[in-house]
Formats: sequence, structure tokens, C-alpha cells
Amino acid sequence: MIRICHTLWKSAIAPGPFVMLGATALAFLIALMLAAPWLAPHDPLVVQMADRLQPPSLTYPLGTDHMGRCVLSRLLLGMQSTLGVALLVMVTVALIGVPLGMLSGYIGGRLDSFLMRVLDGAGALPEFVVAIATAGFLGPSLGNLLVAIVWVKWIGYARTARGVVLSERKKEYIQAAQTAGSGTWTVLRRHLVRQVLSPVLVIGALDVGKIMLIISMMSYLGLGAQPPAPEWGAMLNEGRPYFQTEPQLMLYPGLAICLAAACFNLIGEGLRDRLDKRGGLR
Amino acid sequence: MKPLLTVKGLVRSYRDGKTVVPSVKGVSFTIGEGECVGLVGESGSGKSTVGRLLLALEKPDQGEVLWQGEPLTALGSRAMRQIRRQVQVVFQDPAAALNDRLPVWRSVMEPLDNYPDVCPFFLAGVRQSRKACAAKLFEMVGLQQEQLDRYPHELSGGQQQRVCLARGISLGPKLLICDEPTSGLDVTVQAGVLKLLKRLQRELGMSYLFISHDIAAVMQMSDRILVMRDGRIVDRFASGCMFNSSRHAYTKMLVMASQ
Repeated sequence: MIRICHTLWKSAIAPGPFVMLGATALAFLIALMLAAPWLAPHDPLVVQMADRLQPPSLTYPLGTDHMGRCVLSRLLLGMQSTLGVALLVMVTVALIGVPLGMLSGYIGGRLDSFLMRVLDGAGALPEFVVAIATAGFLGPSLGNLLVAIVWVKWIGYARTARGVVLSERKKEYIQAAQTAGSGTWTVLRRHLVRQVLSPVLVIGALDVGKIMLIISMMSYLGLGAQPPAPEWGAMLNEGRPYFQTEPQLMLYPGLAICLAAACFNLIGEGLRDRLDKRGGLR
Repeated sequence: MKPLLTVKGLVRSYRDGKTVVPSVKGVSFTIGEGECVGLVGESGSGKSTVGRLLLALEKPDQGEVLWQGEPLTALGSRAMRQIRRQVQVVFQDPAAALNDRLPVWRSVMEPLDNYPDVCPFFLAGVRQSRKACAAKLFEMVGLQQEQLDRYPHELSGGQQQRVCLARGISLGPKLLICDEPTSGLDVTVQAGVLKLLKRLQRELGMSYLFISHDIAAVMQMSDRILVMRDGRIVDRFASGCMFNSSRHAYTKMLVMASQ
């Protein structure tokens, strides 16, 4: 694990200013997310009808929304449902998809044919439609949305991992490993995980941004986080009726979504440029 | 000489679409303890397949491989594992034979990591430390200590092949299968690797199956030479008898072509 972190760190440090910028901004956002309960000046759920639609002031740094709730507090705590859930989905998806794909690619045979048919079937419909259908079927809640996104996203990771393993397992170093007495698990763990890691990392970093957008979109559609829970997409939706008079209610969560998605895209693109050079990862 | 390995009537073919392409068509030979047997032939003659069959990376369609008299096919996985550590390999393309994401010392230690209770005599005293083992093996194949933490792409082809060799000898095997170990290297580097192979064989008392298309290299290395063509052994002789008039026409052709 430490070695993998070391590899990740080394691969992240060299590729230039954009990845560093993205990573720094992301680290800042995650720190904000973790510290949100202490940083938030107000309870994000407390309704103060007397203070509704207030402009920014010392008490409410970003003003209040249509129910008189502190916008800054809602943005800060909403990060957990948007960013936090996106990261959680990402990790879950990678933990399900990558091992299945690797195993399928390495063992081959019936397991592989079976998994490929499952993937073909599951991948035949557009992701977003399936996610909406699944979330709608399970009922609107953040937990169900999480399940819906994992269900549509694991396919891509399994496919990528399988592809890498298929191309690597023919190489002589795998035969050398077998001759050296490494069994299936050892070969997967010692040799193939590292090969799979870098492409997964790249699509992962790009995907977290997309997943965050999906969560926000679904919440905007009412299929994700339920009111009164703060979530950036849901906040956008709640601000919509007041857009003419109070555009900042949509501006703040919109900017927050853009910023976080931009961080992941910077990291993802930068890592891709770097890792595409074969053997360049140190 | 007691046979370490006996091969009897080995047959192996591959499926290419609907046609079956025979690769090895009935090959038999023995390798004695401490002996270096050369296996020569052009590309496609089936010599590398023989190597993979001996390593049990593939199963023969017919025939058997006997290790000190015991057939490999009849063995359970545990006994197979014990034999596997006695038979190690050096492949043709050292860049492909090393994982490009691992520092080379980890590749060298892979066999020893898999067999934690094996300690060949040349590692006595350092076996408890992985890094010290790797350093000792590096020293044996003429690599520098600073190169332990390098990645394969940071080393030259000759150095990479030395890394592969270090991995090949790390368990103190009785038989090392060298599958065209010098074919991917420059002529000057080749000479160095051949010399190293020869020295290690003497020091560690290993047997070699030296597979190559380069008859000059095979002659320099081997005690006995087998000539393979189209999946069959067409000629076999002690390496001193290379230029005898009784040689097979194909052997003569190979000799001519190499001069």
C-alpha cells in the first residue's frame, strides 16, 4: 500500500503545473469538506423566514436563500453530499470493477465469456438513462442514487482492467513470474495491479468530476439528495425560481460544482499526458 | 553422467484458426548434471516451444518430461512447485521479461520471495535481508549496487539481461534454460554475457539448455549440440565434432551460413 502511494506520489509530482494546481485546489476542497462542521457559521438546516433572501452581510457571508438558511453553511456542508459521495462512488466502483476485470482477463475461459456478456448487456444502454431509471426505480434518495451510479460505472472499470490484463499477460515477464513460482494471486497482486493502476487512475480522476456532475444533475431533477439536505445540485434547483431577482443563489453552487469538476479534470488530463508515455511512470 | 532431465517423444501443436500447426514433432533427449546442451535451429523450428514445455508453462500433447526419473505430468502441485524451483529460465528479450513498473531488484527477488525457505549456498548469511540478497546477486552477475533501485528502462539491454540472469540463478537451480539469451544484444555485449553464463555454470554447477539460432554461440557454450529443424532433432553430436564429415547436411548448412 505504501509502495502504491509512493508510485502515485511520484507520478503526480513530475507532470507539471496543471496537475499540481488541480491537486492543491482539490486538497484544499477536501480539507474544507472535512472541516465544514466547524467552519460553517450556521446550521444549514435552520429556517429563518424573517431573514429570507438576505444580501451578504457579516452574519451571513454569502447571504441567505429563500427559506432564510445560510448559503455559505449550505455550500460547505453540501460538499459532503456532492464531493464526498462522488469520491465514495469512485472508490466503490474501482473496488468492484477492477478486481472483477483483472480476474476475468487473467483466468479467461468461461468466467471471462460470462462477465463480458454481462458487461455487454449492462453497457448497451446509455449510462445516464440507466442511472435515472435505477434511481427512479429504487426511489429518490442519496443512497439509492449512489447505488445507481455504481451500477452504471463499474462496467467501464472492469473493461479497462480486463483490457490491460489481456495485453500484459502474454508478455514474457508473466511467464518468468510463473517460472519463478508465482501463483495466480501473486501474479495479479505483484505484477498486474501496477499495470492496471495507471489507466484506472486516469479515468478515475476524470470520472469523479463526471460523477459529481451526475449527482448534482440527479439532485437537480429531484432524484438525489432530498430537501432539506444541502447538496449543490439541489441548491441550484431551489434557487431557480429566484434567478431573476437573486441570481447568486444559483451562481454559488454552480461555481462550486465547476471548481471541483475542474480540479478533477486538471488532475486527470495531466496524469493521462504523463502516463501515456510508456514506462515513464516512476 | 546421471541424467537430470529426460525428454521422451515430445509432441506439441498449436491451433491457428481451423488448421493445426505442429510445432514439436517427437523430440527426445537428455541433459546430464552439470552439462550444457545446445539446441540450435532456425526460427520456427520449435526450439523455444521445447523450452516452454520443459518449464511446464505448456503441456505436451504427447510424450513426457522426466525430472530425475520422475514424470512431470504425474506430479501434484506441491511436488511440481519443488521441481519448478530447480528449473529456471532466461528469456530472449530482457525488456519484455522484466515488469517495467517494478524496480529491478524486486524482479530479481521474485523467486526468493516465492520460496522463503530456500537458501542457495551463495546467499548463506544474507538470506534474511532481501536487499542484501539482491545486492549479492547483482554482484555475481557484474551489476553495480546503485542499479538495484533502477527501473528496467533505465538500464541497457545487456544490463537488463544480467538482471534476468540474476533472477534465473537466485534459487540456485539445477537447470537453467537459456532461450536465445544473447540474440537481442550487440555483439560485444553478447560476448560478455556468454562469458558470464559460462562462469556461473562453473561456479554454481548448473546444467544449461542453451537455445539459440547462433551456432557459433552454441558451440562456445555447449558440451553437446542438438540440431532442430521443423520440430524434429535432425542431428546430435559432441561440440568438438561440429566439423566432422558425418554431420547432417542441415548442420553443415548452418555452419556454412555462420562463417
